[in-house]
Amino acid sequence: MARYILHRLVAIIPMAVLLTAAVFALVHAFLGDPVVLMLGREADAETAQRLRHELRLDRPLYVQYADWLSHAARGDLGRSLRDREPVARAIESRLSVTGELTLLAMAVAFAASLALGTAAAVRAGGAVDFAISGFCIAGVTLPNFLVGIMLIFLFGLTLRWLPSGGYAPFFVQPADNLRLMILPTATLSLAYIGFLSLVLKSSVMAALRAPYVQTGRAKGITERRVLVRHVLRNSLIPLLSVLGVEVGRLFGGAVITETIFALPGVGRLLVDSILGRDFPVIQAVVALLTFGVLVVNLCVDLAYGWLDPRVTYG
Amino acid sequence: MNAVHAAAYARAAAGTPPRISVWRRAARNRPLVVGGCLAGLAVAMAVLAPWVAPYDPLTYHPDHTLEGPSRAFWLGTDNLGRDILSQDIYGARISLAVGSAAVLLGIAGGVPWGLVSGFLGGRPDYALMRLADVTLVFPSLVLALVIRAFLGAGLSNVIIALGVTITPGLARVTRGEVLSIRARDFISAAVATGASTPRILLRHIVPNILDLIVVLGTAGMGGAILTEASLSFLGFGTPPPAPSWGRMLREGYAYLLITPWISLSAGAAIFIAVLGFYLAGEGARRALHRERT
Repeated sequence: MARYILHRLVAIIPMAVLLTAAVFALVHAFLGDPVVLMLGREADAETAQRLRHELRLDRPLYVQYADWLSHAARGDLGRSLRDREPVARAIESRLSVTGELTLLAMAVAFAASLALGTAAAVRAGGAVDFAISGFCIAGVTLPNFLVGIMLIFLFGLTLRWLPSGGYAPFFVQPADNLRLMILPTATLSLAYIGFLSLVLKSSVMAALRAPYVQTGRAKGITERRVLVRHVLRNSLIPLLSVLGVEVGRLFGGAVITETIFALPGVGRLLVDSILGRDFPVIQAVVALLTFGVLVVNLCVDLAYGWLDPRVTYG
Repeated sequence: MNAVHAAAYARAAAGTPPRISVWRRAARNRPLVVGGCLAGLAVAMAVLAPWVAPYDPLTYHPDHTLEGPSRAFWLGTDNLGRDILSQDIYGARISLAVGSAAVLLGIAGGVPWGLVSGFLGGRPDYALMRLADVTLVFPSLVLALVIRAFLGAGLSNVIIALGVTITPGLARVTRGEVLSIRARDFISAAVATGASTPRILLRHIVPNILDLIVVLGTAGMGGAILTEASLSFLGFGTPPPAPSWGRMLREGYAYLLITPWISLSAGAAIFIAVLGFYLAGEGARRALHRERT
């Protein structure tokens, strides 16, 4: 087990190196000279050259990349071109926002899909199933920016029940924080509620036909126990795989959600840094995202073994 | 008992399923019917825009800014006095044009990628598939956003960015199909008769995966339209003044309290188009699945 984890962690490294190198090369090939962006086109050649030297941009690209990588490995992601703030600090302060948003959305989606997916599967073909499946398909296909705007329009502007944007740190104003996070969480989780419920419904339906369910019922254990202990536990595995695949897309959703609700998160940071061509920041966010997705996928693979003792890691 | 029944009985006895017309079978495929209608509505809006739209979508009506729905302007007007219904209708053109161009680009890149990878096997296959894996790590919106940032503004760059997001997934599915077809006897026969590799790929393998590509392309349209709208919503999509649903949503956001119709109607249009292609793709997938089993 420990060997397996170590093996997988080592396998992440070449992939992360490859991806960050590709992004590094692309950033330099397409985004143009950052010095020109910083000083403007009218700056005299000498000043530009001095700044280029100061920023270590006058060295060959592979040296710059190796330099970036060795610093990144030690947690130093360079400085923003725009405000000279260390990138690591900029990301750190925003990570808690994106982290809270995505974790809340995932938790809500997971809980809701357990209820909806199971209910739809148990009553498959009936009115409950039809209503839940319709809701889920709408959830999957409704663009999340439209969901966000409709929620703001309804609960923020018309009914005035909830704030329509802004952020308060959880550890300073916990009540405000939670009130502010309700609509963003709903916006981000809706698609996942739909998607996970549909996945769970089909796997619960498959599990309900399994011989061990019949055995359980024949033994006389309650239907609730059959569902919770036997059906659900076995149905969680497909849900987990989906979760691993979808974690990257969750960040894509966070980009949109943070923009709509004016949340100062990493997604918003990415959009701003693309607008401002702030490539150390773009580079860092992409690297972080890659790393995050790979690590979550590792965790998902490890959870298989916990849910299904037949899975062994070799 | 008439002749038709007799024929049906004869077929049943012989073990062949009764022949049902293609249309009849398609009509029973509920996702295909609903999706086809919704996607058809979007296509009709795009094709018929100049005849259906009540106004030119870019004409200003300075006396009628930010109005609600009225008899003259069914869905009201925006801050410059442009008719919203007409913008919604013309927006279908942009969305479908960008979406289909991106899907075609994705097919042009992904299918050869998968063909080569699956047919060559071994190390090249491994390398090509790891490349696909690496690209698939990124959510399509973030990938499109980053590529679009590299390439700069412009309609063709948006199309390229969307096409690139579609490519690796298509490559992977194509490769899987190639692997299963390659193992079949008629490929061995073709190899035995001395057919060249390009000939085997183009004459024997490609015709067998065309149906799958159509299915994936249909579903891909929905995704491409959604990602284009997301890019436009973030301000990185179709450049103005061409009416684009995503940008209408973005710009209408500021006037949500005055006329929510700008954002909501554009959002509804996106929803209809995306749902239509999503369901049509799902229906086509089911039909293909039944065909093959």
